[in-house]
Amino acid sequence: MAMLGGLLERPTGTTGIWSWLTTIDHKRIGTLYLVTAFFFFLVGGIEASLMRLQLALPDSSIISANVFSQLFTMHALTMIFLAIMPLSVAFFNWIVPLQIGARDVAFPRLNALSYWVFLGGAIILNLGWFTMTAPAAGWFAYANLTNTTFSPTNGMDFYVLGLLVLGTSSLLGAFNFIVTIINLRAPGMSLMRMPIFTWMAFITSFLLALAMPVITIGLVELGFDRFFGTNFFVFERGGDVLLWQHLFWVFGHPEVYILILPAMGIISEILPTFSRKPLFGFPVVVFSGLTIAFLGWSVWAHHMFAAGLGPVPDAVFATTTMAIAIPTGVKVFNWLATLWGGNIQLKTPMYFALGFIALFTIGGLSGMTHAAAPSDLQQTDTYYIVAHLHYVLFGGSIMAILGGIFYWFPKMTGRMMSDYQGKWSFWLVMIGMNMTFGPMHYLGLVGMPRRNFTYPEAMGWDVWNLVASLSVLFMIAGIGLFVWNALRSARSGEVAGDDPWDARTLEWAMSSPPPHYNFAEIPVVHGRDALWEQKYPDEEHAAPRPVPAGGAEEADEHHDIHMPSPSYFPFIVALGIFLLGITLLLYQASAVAGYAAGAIGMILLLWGSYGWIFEPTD
Amino acid sequence: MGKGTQLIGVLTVFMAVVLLSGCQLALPQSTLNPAGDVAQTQQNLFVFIFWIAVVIFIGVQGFLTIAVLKYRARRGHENDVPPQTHGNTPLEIGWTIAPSLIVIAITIPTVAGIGATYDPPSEYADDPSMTIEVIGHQWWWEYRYLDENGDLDFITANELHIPVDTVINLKLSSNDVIHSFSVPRLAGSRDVVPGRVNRMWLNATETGVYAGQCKEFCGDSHALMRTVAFAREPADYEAWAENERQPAVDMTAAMEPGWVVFQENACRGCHTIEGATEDEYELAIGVTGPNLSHFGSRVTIAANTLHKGPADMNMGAFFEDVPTNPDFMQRDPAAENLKRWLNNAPDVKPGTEMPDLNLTDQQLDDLVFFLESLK
Repeated sequence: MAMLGGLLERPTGTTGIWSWLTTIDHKRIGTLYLVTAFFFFLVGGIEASLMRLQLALPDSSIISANVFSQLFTMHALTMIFLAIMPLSVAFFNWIVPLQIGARDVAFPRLNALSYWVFLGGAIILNLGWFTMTAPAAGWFAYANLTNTTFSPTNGMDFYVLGLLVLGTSSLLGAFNFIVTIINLRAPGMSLMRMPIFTWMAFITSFLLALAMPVITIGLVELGFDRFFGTNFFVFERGGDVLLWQHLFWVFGHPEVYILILPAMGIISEILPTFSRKPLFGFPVVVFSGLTIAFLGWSVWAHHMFAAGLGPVPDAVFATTTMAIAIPTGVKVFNWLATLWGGNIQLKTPMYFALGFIALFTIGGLSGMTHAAAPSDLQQTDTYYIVAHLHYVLFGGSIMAILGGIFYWFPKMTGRMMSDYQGKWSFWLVMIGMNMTFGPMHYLGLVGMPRRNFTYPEAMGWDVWNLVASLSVLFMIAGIGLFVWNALRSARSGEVAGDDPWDARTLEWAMSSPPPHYNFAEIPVVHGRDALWEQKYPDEEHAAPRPVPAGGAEEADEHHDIHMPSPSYFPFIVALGIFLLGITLLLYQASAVAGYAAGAIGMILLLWGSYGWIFEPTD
Repeated sequence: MGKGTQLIGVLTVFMAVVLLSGCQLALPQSTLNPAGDVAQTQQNLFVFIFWIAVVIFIGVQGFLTIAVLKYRARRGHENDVPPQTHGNTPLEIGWTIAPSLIVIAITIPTVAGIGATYDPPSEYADDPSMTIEVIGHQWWWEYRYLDENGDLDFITANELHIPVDTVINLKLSSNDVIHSFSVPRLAGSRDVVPGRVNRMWLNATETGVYAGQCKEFCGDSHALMRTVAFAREPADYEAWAENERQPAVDMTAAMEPGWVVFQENACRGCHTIEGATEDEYELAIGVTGPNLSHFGSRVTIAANTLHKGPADMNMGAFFEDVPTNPDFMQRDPAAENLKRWLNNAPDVKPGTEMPDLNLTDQQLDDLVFFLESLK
């Protein structure tokens, strides 16, 4: 033990590449997630832009049918698994420990492991681009199109193995945040005093922990069918292709809430801060989040109304789906009531939050029309659904995430992003998004199916496809400006100070960026909106009271705060998991390479775990 | 400000387009222009929810706009602290009950609509006036018409002919992967699932030509797995069906050169031509591709990837022209589209099993003449 532990002493560097590879600081891991996921967000955007290029004109042949299939499959996988989910996790990492008054997450090394495993899974999923054999059966990958007969390239292998590795990462993160939120809250922070974003992170983590195993079962079965010749989804030999659909959507619908609940949490922080007023009906907003998450498990077959399950299942799933509109509506009403009577500061994060409400409402309302099964049979697999899901995921999740980045940027970097440029990027994205996805409602209603690499001329689809494609330019400009704003502001933006928005929650109680131990003294919480109550103790007179920054000035006095040291082992274990992930792929190309990757991966995994367990504390 | 205002503007224009375009443009695949009872029920439900959604939309966006305009920070008062309202229980109960009532109002016609569209009207349940087996293939549709005893009557492909005002029962199955059958003006989609037999029904309440296509992604050429439905007067339908029941026309001397090309290129391994005698179209018994016994009477090629009109006629014009022009087939004597397909099918339809035949011009002419003779 001494020798193995001695082989890799805990690293001590705080700068340079090794400090990033070995960091277990939740803030730096949050930054890694943020940068990586935003990179993949841009990749997914390029994939989408290429598809819009192909669809700008009818009977176009810029992009081949097969490449188009790869593009729409990878666009969805990238945006869902490599952009929106990890962007949410970036905020979990950065903000949750600060909001609950903790110095780090419960398992800091596990946190690092989930990032590195995520990166490995993201690489595996994208490996196909190097041979132009990326997955091409849709992100939903309906059996039996995915078997080796109908998908003979290794595209679906990347899908199976990439998602299995990514699922591992999600599970590690989910358990970590559940334990962190349950155990590491500051004294006095009861569950109903917990900030709303942390609440949504908490609910989302449970959804992840429960949903990921379901897709894992499906992926393992599909992997066995492809690699070892089993017959889970081979109907000629007694398999059932609908089994995959059930497994996929039992995961897939909660996944939708995994994507939107963190976004709802973000705007539920932004709206009160910029209205200078508490979130209206906090308990109801929490409870409706829980209700959405719970009901989210009972609606999966609304993705399968056309599958022919029978009239009774259709009626049941239509009804449960409708029911989700109730807690969702309640949330929207509470957000509106938060605005009412406030002193609304129209800064960029607020623009994005207001944009969220406006756009998410449209997505929710179009959702009602395909919760009604007979109506859905016309809309399913048409551009109407593409419009709906982008109003929810772009108009919802992405708008909230952009707002969240802008909102917490000063805390993360110590500098402000330019509000002027921020508003420009908001309007560009807002206009581009509505002009691109808005017409798709109409296209779907007049019968244009989705996942079509081309469409014939003069079917009534030409004009609005061109409008949709051209409007992508607005979004590219808006996102480009946003990125430039962030990069420039990180270096030379106006210095933010501890609490630039006069916000309400504990992450604003310390210096920006926070010291690595976050809180010099763990705060004691006496109410909801803990910081606000310290700043404005007397509601009647509302006179601000200066609050000592929770660390900055006293940092020197608290240099003996013990934080866990960085560690090599999360990265080593993740590398082992990555190599095991690609073992089967390599084995198909060359048995020797497969055995080598498997052996090295296993050694790294075992040695890394051993070192992890017996690693000295300093 | 005006975020809400801008949105309302966009949506107003958008709604106007939706409402007007249904009657002005030719929209052969539109869900908004039903020509059958199933599609009508589906559209009625959509329109009902749509108007409820419009009211909620105006309410939410209007409230949002008013709240932002009314309560935005005034110059010099940015740091004022408004009353810290935490909630209002009666209000919150109210806006929980209100959406519940709306949801109930939508659920009732939804469930009724499922009942009305899932199974055919009860008088047709036991005694289907007409049943057609629909078999999905990558990437074309096989239609097997059954007689009143449930036995096979005749087989055709890609062009579905039905008598108007008649309930049609479809039995859907797949030869390979999952597809989804839909002709939006007649009925929304039902998946075509390998290993299962799904059912759906439709009727056409007016004669016409309706576009449809596979809606479940089924591989690279999913976009080119289209179909055309012809709803015709019963007498016209019966005449068409009677012709389909007959074997292919007897071979004439003029057809011989094309038949030679057909044989030499192994077309017969994948396509069936039912001759009057067993040896007439010898060994043309393949079932991998569409049955060609009456190919000459069809107006589309390769599941309507192409039509038989002039090569420069777009698909919208085709759908406008075909119902009103009995001589449609004579529109393009040069058969440019058909030649394009026969010469290099994978170029037209990526991934198709029909190979690049690379024929000479003479061979193409002969083959076209032969195929078009199979009326």
